[in-house]
Amino acid sequence: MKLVLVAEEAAGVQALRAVTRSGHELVAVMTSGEGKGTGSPVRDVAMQIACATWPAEWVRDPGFAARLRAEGVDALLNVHSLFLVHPAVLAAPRWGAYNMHPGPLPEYAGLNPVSWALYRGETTHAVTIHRMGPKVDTGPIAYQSSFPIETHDTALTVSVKCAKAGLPLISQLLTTLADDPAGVPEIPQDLCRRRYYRPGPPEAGRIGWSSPGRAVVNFVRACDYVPFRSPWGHPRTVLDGREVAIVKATRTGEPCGAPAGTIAEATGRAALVATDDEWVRVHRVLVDGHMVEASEVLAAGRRFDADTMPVR
Amino acid sequence: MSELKALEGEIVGIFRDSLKIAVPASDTDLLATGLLDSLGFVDLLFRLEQRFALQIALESLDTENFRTVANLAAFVAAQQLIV
Repeated sequence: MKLVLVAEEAAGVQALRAVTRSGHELVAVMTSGEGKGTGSPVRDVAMQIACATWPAEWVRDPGFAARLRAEGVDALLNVHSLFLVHPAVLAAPRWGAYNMHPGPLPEYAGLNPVSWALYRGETTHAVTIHRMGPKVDTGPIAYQSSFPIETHDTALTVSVKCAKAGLPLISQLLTTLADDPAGVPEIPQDLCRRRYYRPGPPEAGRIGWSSPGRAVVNFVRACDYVPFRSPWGHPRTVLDGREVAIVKATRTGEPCGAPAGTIAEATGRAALVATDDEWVRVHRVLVDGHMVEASEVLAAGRRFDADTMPVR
Repeated sequence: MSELKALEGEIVGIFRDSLKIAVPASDTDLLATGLLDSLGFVDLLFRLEQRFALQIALESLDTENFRTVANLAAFVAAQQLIV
């Protein structure tokens, strides 16, 4: 079977390794030039295995379909690439084009589904492989794997879970395509349940302390890729005219009657902050570009600006 | 050479051969120096699981274990005891 892989990010690297292990012919890897150092990490791995690399943006060009047909490509696999694939290109591979999406479909279409799911307080998440159609994340579902989101999970750990859950699905897809292409499931999505998420953070990236503690902590977890860069940054708030970003926070379950945003006595390295219904324990904050323990900068008795609308 | 030192050597090899990252020393802060980014972190997790036949539980994941090669070696050794 002849494959073309369009891939980015860590999941793309893992998908490339999985495709390589499968023994199928990888015609080319398509990836962007972005990434750490001199090139794309996916490209670096492709070069290690002496696989041809093509610019990912070619998928937007209808003329690229002829190249895929000329190469006799059987399937195109898209993993975390952000380029919209032209319908003519989608139609070119003999058995179709498939996308691995790091979220359950149709409920979490769009970008950064991991962060959105945490923000919305979900307790389960999923990885989905679906056949690609002209409209983003709407094609029939081939395979989906669900897993729990635990209270201690962060965006980083859920992203790792997605990568882990997705690899067996890729293997399953490749095996079925090779053995019996018609046997790949095509479960239509119920588009009435579709929600499409934009890439940026909710609430303009600002914490509303008058929200329930659960919502505040979920927002912080949704941004938590610590110690790595978060695509959403960290939720921001203002203390005495100074911007403070909340990096780590947990719920206490202890009811509070203090005005939202009030800082109570610090416990160890953390500080308690009042929300609408409970004290939230803030562990680490980012101030002036420096990540510090909360108790170093949050003084008891001070109060954060409750400057955004509450999230319910 | 102690078992931990041997593990450190193997982990340095994973960085060098699989991740294409040259680690200057076993106590180099991989996170502060930016040598290990989120992509490398995920890749490293998979590599460690494959190389040492581990199943790293994400609920026990502490990124401090990934801060240096020495920390990683101690972490892998502890995980091997669990397995």
